[in-house]
Amino acid sequence: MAIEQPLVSDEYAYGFNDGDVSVLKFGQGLTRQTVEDISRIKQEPKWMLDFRLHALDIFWKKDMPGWGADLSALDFAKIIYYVKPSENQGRTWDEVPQTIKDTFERLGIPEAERKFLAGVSAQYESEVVYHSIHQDLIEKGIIFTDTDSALREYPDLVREYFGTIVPAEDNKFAALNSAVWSGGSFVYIPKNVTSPIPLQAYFRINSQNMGQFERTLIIADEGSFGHYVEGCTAPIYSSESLHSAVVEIIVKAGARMRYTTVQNWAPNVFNLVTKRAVAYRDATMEWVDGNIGSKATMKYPSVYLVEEGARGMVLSIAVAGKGQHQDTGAKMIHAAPHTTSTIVSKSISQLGGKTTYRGLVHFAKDAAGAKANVRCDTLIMDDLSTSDTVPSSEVGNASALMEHEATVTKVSEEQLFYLTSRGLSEEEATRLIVMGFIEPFTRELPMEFAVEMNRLIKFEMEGAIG
Amino acid sequence: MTTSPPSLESLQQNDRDRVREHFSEDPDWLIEQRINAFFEYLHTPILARKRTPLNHRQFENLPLFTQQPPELGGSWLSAEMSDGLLVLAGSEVAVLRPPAGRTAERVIFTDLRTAAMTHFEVVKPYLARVARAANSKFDALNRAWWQNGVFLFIPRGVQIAEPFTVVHHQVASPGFFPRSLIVLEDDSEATVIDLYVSPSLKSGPRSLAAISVEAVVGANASLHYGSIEQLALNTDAFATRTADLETHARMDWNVGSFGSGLEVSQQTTYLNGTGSENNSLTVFFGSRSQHHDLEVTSVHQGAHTRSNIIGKGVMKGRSRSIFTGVTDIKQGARGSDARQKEQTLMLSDQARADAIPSLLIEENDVFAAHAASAGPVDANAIYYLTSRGVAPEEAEQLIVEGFLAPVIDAIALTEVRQRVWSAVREKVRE
Repeated sequence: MAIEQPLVSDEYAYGFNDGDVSVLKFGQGLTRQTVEDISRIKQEPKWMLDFRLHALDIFWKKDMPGWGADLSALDFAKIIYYVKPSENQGRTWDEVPQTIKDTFERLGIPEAERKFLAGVSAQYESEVVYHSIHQDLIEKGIIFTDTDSALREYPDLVREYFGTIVPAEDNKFAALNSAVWSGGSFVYIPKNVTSPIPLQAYFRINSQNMGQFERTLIIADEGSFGHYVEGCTAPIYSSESLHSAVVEIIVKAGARMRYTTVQNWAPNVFNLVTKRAVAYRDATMEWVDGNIGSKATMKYPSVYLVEEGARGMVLSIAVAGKGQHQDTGAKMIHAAPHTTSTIVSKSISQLGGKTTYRGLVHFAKDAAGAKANVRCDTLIMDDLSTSDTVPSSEVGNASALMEHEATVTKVSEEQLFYLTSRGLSEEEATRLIVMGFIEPFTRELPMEFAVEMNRLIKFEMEGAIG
Repeated sequence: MTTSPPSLESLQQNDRDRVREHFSEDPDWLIEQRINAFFEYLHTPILARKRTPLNHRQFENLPLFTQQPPELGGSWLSAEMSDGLLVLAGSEVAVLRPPAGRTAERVIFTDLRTAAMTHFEVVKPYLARVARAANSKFDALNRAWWQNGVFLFIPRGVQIAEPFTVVHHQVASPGFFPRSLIVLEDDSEATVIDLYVSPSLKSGPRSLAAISVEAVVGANASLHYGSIEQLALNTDAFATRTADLETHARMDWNVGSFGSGLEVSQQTTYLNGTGSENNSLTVFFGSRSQHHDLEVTSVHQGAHTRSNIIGKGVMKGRSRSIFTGVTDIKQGARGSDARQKEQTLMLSDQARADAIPSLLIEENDVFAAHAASAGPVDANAIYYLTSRGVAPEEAEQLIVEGFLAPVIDAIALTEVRQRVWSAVREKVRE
């Protein structure tokens, strides 16, 4: 197989930085004082400070994961845990500081907002610098704001759900996020309300050694529908940055929530994220998860199907290039009867990159009649690249049904031959085959967003193929 | 043999003299190997099986040997077993019938202790060579303390169709360490069946079995191997099976796990030679509170190597199974084709079956795939059968048999096939 050019270019298009634009920047390292300072700057209630400090103790006690990506280059003492980029949050782009606004212009966010988004949140370093939501969504009672503002404006809602889906005890990075979280989105969709167009959040790291710890909480009340989309980029530096988010989602009876991520971090970012949803009776939770960049990603979106008839879906692609390790997967916990789940994972490793699919399907004793279907496919583009597929299933109920299939191959010689014999160049043919391979993923993106996504990927591929 | 029953614990404080005394009849090189293996055993960490925590099990207090006379079940001496039969009662040889045929004189088929004395020039280069790669604590234990086992040597170019059958009979001894060493030279072919049985399935002292099988399959040679484990429920069994395949060698594993309260197995096939092929079938059937943690690995090192791992299990009672398939394709194993398929039939809500079919791929010019499924007995099928007058228990048996038939009926070894079927029927009736 003679693909000379990588699928996704080594050139990282979003690797520029804005210099130091911050109005407040902590020193490197993490102490109890760091946590207290973050909480004080944000003028948080005492319960949140207590929550943070408790989580900090857990973070210090927990071991690093003994599996997954190599995190040895990650030095917690070198990370900057809080950077405030501007004094105030803008409601129009004119209120955003010029340099930051220019960055988001370059990333195409304001344009996308004008075209097809119902609400936009733009987080730069630790804080959300811009926020807007369509008036008609406000009138429907939809709340879409940053999590810090939510803590002030909707204290009861936040306190009721915050940390209930991903407790600080869950893992070392969930504990770290719980201790130093800043920013992220808070979404509440009232009963039987449908949000017809996606809400988008955009996360940008600018500083060297930055640690970004956004915290997202989404509540889809009974019978509602919502779609939340996030995107991420960062400049390239020689030292490592850390992105460690926690996303908690509650999908109440009969509701449907979709969470779409297109993560395109710079190759010096550790992306260690805990994403988990709970789906109640007849509710549907869908994760659409694209992982293209970062140095190492460890991310396993999960759905706890806790009441009868709940449905879960994870649809993901991972592309690992030079020096990258995408250790991703999905978890479906069937804890109630007649729950169903689908996992479709597509991985591509190229230029010496490594992809790992790591998944779990669990059927508890109560999961009578539950069904799960898992499909993992991997393309290895060249002889420098590697791939692991490590799915597990745990079946504790006699009437549960689990099906799992996986393949690992190279680009098919026959398909290449077929296409090139009809006049396509080998590069064009390869791109066509790869696009076909990931089509189950791109197909699921909303049309307008798919256009944006295609532009993004095309930009990445420019000069790489064809 | 010594009269005092040493325990593992007491031996930890003891030294090489103890081993030397215990195996005083062994040749020096073997005693040396046993001593080294014993130190290896002491210093190798216990198997890290995530779903089978072994840290708290008290192996150390089990006495290794007692001097009970062997009790041999007469059923193993049935006339249907023809030539090429070895029956071992603990360390004692109860029956040894050499193979028939014109090539028999060049073939070595005897118990491992005798072979180590009389054919040491053939045994010594192979004994423990392949198994050491598995780096297993319990294989090290077996290498130190094996009482007896089988040695089969098929010289170059010799092909024998009739199976060699070995019955490893666990006598009333708490420690059971049978060892099989199978060496096929280039262009040869043989069939070997290891049967592991206890005097009684449900009674007997708590005991520890460390079973080891190692096979070397030469260029263009084919080894058809069958193994059925039906040890007493009071046994903790650790099985280490390892094979090295040379160029265009072929290995068929047909392994049935039915007995033991706890069985932890580690089966590794090294596809070193270009074009070598590994077909591995495991049938397991858990009942009561049995716990089977089975791991089957294909390591592809040679180019154009092929492997197919199939695991098929039935779970009833409060049993628990973990089936881990590992396809490990190393860089350079170009053009390899590796497949896995795991299916579990669940007969009880109290049972639990875990499957971890993993693919570790370092080479891009390959095809690797796995499929796994688990599911219940089809209620419609039960309804259909019972509405036609079949008793519910019988209907369940039919469905279990229908589930297992595609793999069991594909076992080419007639004797293994029949024994697996009878083991399955016993389990269904339990």
